[in-house]
Amino acid sequence: MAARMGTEAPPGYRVCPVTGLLCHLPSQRLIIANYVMSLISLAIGGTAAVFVGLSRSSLILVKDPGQYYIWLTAHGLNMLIFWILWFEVALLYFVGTILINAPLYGLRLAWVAFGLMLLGQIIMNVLVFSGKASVMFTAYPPMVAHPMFYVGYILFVLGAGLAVIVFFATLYKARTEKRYEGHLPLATWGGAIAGIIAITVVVHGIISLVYVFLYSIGVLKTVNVMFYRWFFWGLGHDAQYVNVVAMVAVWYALLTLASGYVAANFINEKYARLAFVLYPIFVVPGIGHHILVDPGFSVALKQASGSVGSHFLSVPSMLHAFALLGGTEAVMRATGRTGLFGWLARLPWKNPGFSGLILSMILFGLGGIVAQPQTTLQPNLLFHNTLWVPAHFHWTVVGGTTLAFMALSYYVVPLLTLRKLYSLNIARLQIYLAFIGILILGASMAWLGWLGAPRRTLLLENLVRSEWWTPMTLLGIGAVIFIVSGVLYLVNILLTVLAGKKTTNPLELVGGLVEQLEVKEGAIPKKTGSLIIVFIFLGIVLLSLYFASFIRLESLPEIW
Amino acid sequence: MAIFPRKLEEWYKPLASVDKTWIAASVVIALVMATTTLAWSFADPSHQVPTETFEVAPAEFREMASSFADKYRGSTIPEGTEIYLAAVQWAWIPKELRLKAGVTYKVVISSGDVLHGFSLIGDDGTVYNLMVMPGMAYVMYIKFDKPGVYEIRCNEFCGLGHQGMVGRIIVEG
Ligand code: HEM
Ligand SMILES: [Cu+2]
Ligand SMILES: [Cu+2]
Repeated sequence: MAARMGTEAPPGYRVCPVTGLLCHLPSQRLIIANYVMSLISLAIGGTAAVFVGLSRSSLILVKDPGQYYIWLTAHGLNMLIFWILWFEVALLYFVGTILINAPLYGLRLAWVAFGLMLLGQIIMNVLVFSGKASVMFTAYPPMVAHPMFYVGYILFVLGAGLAVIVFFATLYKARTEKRYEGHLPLATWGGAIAGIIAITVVVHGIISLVYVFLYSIGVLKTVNVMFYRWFFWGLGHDAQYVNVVAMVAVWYALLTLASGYVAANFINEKYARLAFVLYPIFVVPGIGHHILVDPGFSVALKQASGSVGSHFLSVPSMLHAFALLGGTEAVMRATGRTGLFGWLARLPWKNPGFSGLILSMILFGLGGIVAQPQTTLQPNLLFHNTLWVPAHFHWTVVGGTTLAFMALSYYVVPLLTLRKLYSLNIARLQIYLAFIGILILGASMAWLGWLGAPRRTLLLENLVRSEWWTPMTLLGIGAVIFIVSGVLYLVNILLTVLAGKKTTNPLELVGGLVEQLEVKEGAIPKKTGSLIIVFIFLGIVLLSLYFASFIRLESLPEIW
Repeated sequence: MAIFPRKLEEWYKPLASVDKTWIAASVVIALVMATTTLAWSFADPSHQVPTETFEVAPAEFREMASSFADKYRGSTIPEGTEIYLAAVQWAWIPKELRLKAGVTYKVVISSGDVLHGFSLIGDDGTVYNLMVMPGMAYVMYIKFDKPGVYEIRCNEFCGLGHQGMVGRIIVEG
């Protein structure tokens, strides 16, 4: 574990007292700077979430549509684009330097990337909050925002692209300088796969955003909406797979850290690495699920890309689900917690790493299940642009990615700042509140979507159909619970940084975060329970919902 | 270890049989879904995404829908009539369609300005959604079996008045 313990750190570096890893201080500053920006974005997006969530509840907090659409645009942008991408840049820098013993190559470029992203974000937020860009984060033409809004968007995307280039340059340099032996750690491997996908995000993003910018300033007199939608979703869709891959890499890191590295011997890394490689192969072919009910695209393209391609894009996630759950089961069994599901009951549920991992996997799984009928040509007719869609992605990118990122930060923030986590109990509670909140939020939106309630629509009293009121009340409850958990997260991290006890004692830095697990002689690390669980949820439940949606389609008036 | 570099011989291990079982199972699950959507295209031709489309200028289409609306305001649309339905900021033209149950209508739908969404919501549990795109028209065929009232809502954000874009289809016996 503490492999390099005792070795002197070269100038400009420090040795991590817990992991023994070398940490390059100027690179660490960049990791922290990007992470701080992600927290600020989360706070802005979270403030917007109060107004969005409570206005879509039966409370209807904001009654003015203009105000509502400002909050919603701000929510989507600051959450999906800013919070997630800032965090991912920090994550890439982390797995690309500290884990492989290397400094960031191109520090100055990394700061340029930071500056571009920051500038882009400021421009966009100023325009959104001044009401000049209420076009949602998707910014579909021919509706246009203030031209500077697109400039900000382009700057942000370029900055993120530059950060990815710095990351790859760092990996290349570390390899040629033989900074590490053997192959990249699994988490870095996942980061690299996410980086490859991020390049496709940037390419599609620049094409679509420059195009709509030229239209907004009148250089282009007409706009091809189909062209824009395809390339915008090249950005939007591929970016979700950056999120998925980064989240899965974080899952592996969480399991490894929370188990005190014991779990690492129970994960088949060949299987995991193979599953990672499948993502970039299927991601671009999956773009088509965003245009399934658009006029103008051929049915062949819709079905091949939107449906068949997207179903296969789910395969790597299904593989990882089993690798991680099975890995967890094997560890538990090896440490004497046996029984078909007994290991699950006796998981260290108080450990934020384990609970974060398992709960985030459950929510992501739900998001994946409801995605299957939605990504299929004909059932998409039932769900397109209803609240079913935000239900799906709040389970995936909030329940999955956001929760996983939050759990990981409880481990990494103390190590980077050398301060004890302010409150372990708040961290424990926060994970469960987030789970319950997102579970309810997603379920109520899925319910509303099933009943046809539109997304991106302020439903004032006279516009609410009577059957929508109950799930709207539920939505408000889920929103409040999740917002409370988000505040607890931010406060706990803030207090750690400002008031956490300064220490280099490993026991204090990771106390309560790392389980003391003892592998027992002769224990059999089977994965049978996990196989049954994934089979039930990702096989039976998933296909049942899938076929149920076809049956429902059949009951509709005939429309073709 | 997931967070430390590893040598090839440390991580390149043969897959266990449970791993192989699950790989096979997940491929089968994806194949089942992929096959179902392809098969459905043939199995049930009357519950599909419309395939007929044509290009039309938004302003022109708005005119077509307006004159259609003027002609049939308040009256039941006779069998064999081609229906024009335009989505504009922030209304449906026409606002209301009176159709006969059991009759198949041809409905041409497009936008007079920006992107909109066509969402048909019925008291009988019907939900059916399509994109409405400027410059491009969908031709759909629609047949209601029973009398009833359906709402047409816009569900693609189209500006500040978006939420108020509610129209109606009244199906008469
Ligand atoms: C803090 C608690 C949160 C609440 C209460 C919440 C609630 C909502 C609701 C009700 C909507 C649908 C609004 C509508 O369509 O009219 C929505 C949209 C959205 N949310 Fe959240 N959300 C939360 C957190 C997040 C997080 C953490 C993310 C991303 C990581 C996120 C990303 C989005 C996105 C991208 C949209 C779509 C915006 C659009 O349609 O343009 N949300 N949220
Ligand atoms: Cu997508
Ligand atoms: Cu609209």
